[in-house]
Amino acid sequence: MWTYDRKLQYPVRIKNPNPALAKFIISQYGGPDGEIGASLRYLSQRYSMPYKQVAGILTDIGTEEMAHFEMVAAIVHQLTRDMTIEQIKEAGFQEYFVDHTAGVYAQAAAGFPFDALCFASKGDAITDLTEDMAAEQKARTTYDNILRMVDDPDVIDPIRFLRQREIVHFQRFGEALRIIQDNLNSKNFYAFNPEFDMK
Amino acid sequence: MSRSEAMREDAMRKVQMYSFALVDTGLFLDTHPQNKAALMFYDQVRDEYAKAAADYEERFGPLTARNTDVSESWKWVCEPWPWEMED
Repeated sequence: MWTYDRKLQYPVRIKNPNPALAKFIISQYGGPDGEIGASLRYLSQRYSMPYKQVAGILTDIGTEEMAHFEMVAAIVHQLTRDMTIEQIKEAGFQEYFVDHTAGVYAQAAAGFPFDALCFASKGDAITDLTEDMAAEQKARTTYDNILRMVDDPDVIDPIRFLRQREIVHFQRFGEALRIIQDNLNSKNFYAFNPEFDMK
Repeated sequence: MSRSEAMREDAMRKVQMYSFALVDTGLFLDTHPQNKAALMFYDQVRDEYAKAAADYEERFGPLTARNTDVSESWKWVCEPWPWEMED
């Protein structure tokens, strides 16, 4: 289970509403490489993971991702609260506004809602960890793309923090993959799937 | 920002800083469980976190529902939420 800590992992304090930024930053909430998908991916993969250490890293990173989707939601919330109808129209935020007002909703920048198809749980240790390493890089790329389009320092600061975490997670998942490979027959670790064949 | 807000923010920064150090060191220990330096660092930061969290809770309200003072009313829902910028 989980308990809630009444704090953000890293501060988010955005002074000026700017729905134009919220429009694409929302993708790191409910988009294909967003934080909700990441959290559910890792937490779902851990159940059939036979190696305790790797199940641990999936649990702990999956949990940290919850703190990240809370931060992204806080960014979107602070960019859209107190916005005027003029700002909404100017930013092209009408489509989101008409469906969700200033509520936070899990969707991609292109407007499609969160879809479980975007997160993988294949039930094969090597496959899943390779997926997780790619997922962290995809999220890092998304944050890089966001940073190319943002000029408000209040937004840049927490986005940079989130980007940095993707790099650390990539490193930890790389080590987890190595642990799996070390546990398998070093002559051919693709010969069987430890999540299914080693009973 | 008022003086009390600034004090609250300062106390919260300490909580966030130590808490983050624990999260990051914890991930490192997941894949390096025998690393003595990391184990010692974790132990040290855990104490600092406990102090910072106790200090924050005493002055500004609960960080977890479990630590809510119940002598008068349920204060858990009276303080600002983290996404409201007051953090």
